Amino acid sequence: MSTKRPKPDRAEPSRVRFADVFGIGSVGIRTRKLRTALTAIGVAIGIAALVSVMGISASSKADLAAQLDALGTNRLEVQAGSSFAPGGTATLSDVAIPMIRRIGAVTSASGITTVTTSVRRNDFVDATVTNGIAVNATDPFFLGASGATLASGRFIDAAAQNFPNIVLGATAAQRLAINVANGRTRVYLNGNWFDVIGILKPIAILPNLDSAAFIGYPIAAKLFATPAAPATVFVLTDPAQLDAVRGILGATANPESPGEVSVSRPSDVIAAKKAADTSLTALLLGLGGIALIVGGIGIANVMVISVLERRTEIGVRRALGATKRHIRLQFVVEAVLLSLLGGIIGVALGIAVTVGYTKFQHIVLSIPALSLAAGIGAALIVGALAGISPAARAARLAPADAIRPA
Amino acid sequence: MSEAAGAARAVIELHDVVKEYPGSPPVRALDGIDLRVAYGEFVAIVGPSGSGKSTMLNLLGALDRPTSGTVAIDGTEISDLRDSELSALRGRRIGFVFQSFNLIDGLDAIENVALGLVYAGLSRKIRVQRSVEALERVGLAHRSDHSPARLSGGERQRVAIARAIVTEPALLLADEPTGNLDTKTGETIIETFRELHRDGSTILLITHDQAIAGAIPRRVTMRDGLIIDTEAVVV
Repeated sequence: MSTKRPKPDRAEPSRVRFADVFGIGSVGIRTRKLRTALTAIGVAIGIAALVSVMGISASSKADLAAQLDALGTNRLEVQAGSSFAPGGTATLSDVAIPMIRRIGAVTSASGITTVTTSVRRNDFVDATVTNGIAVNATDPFFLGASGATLASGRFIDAAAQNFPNIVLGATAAQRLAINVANGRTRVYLNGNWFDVIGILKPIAILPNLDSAAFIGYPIAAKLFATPAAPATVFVLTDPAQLDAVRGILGATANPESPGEVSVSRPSDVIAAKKAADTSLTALLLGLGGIALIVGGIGIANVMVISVLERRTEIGVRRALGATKRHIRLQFVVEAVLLSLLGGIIGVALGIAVTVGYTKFQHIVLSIPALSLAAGIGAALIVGALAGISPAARAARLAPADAIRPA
Repeated sequence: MSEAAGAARAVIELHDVVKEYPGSPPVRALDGIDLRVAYGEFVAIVGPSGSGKSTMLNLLGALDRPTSGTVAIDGTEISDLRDSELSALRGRRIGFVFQSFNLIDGLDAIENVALGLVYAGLSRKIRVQRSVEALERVGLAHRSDHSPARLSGGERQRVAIARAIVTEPALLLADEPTGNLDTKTGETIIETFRELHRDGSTILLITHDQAIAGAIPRRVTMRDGLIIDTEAVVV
């Protein structure tokens, strides 16, 4: 070592390697493990809530989409709609169904017409007790066109439609306390006994038909004078030509006043209904957000304490060449690492909750990558925000004061 | 080397230094100090508490600026420096040894020593290499992976000395380095400083202990913010 030095300029600036920033910022975390864990939990809960709410919501949507796909998004529903003539009741053409079947892209079409009668378990039940079951006349093509499936028995076929045979929707069967269609059960329709030949499964895409009962058009016309013109026509089309079919259905079903016909897609209705059901999701997201804020305040709190406890360390680092910026960086990085730890735990927890929920509910699992990125991103932001003020306090400490215990 | 070799070269040059701390009335801790310390000296600053020793340490360590007068350390006048430049001066040119060691608990001995090099932006490899050398110089190479909590007081202070010398500073500043140690251990620490001095380090040691000061070549005695005695250089 030389005792003589060349005339020195100003000292070379202090600098810290990028890789060392994390080492410096993690000392406090590594040496206070219990405190680190407890502090990280706050953020973890918030992030877990956000990730699981987004995951469960996305899974429900994915499950619905899968259900709708399975049911077919290529089904259309044609209704008479409302008449433009004052006091007039709109009806579809008597030949609407055969006309619609003649459209090339239509795979299947079937109609229903309301029958003015009620279904009772037997003739001792008062006629006013309808159980909310609507009776519809329909044709043998109903299952294919509407997507309904049988839970038991058989549907009305070309022969059965001429006789007093009835098929019950799932809810209607429940209300009448009929579990199985074994051909020995009868129900009473205003003076006529009908054999229950089939029971339907719930129709996810047309839930309002679950509380309906179905009889054939010929027997309905004979016993209840039901008109042959359908009130509603269910149409199954080639998916690629859905829009084209949709465009000409009005004119086909009611050539005289096509504007009165309303055409809808049942899957759209259900999707819109589910989409509107987001208030609970929003509430849970809000709660998650609050948990995250509380977690952030916890981090800020711990950082303030940490700065007070580590005055001497700050003084020593300043004496060893750390600039204000280095001190500020150290504590911001510490807060961010703390929060990031919580974020990683939270994301893992959120995934676990989502997987558990979807397993339990037997629905499709879908975890949006965006929610994971958002979870980690939110943790980073919370940590940085929580660290700014304590870090600034640490940097403001005068080195001469910090180095001696106050 | 060329102009006024030796005589003009000083590691510390204080000229008419005044330091006042605000308050009512303001406290005048240093009241017009002149001091010159050449490279290679070993100086003790002695005086009772309240004499201005700590304020001297703050100024000599570039931890604070004077109210008036000039403080030049290793040729750099500190009054003009920005805060980040003061940090750089401390980190590159000054090594600190404190009374209460001030090691960081979460880091083991060698990491504490290497901390002196972190802010110089050196690679980990070089930091470890030079820290091992510094620990060897204070006779603690065998304790390099011990946490400070598992070291004796004397060992901790020697780790702190290693941390101070690892940057090869122009000036080694020690503030009551034996204050928290028993007499025997204190003597070994002073002996370590003496060895460093023999190897060429410039050392300035602040103490109120006359026995320790007596073993140091040059003594600067302070009282009430003034230097009342500067013994001649013996070296």
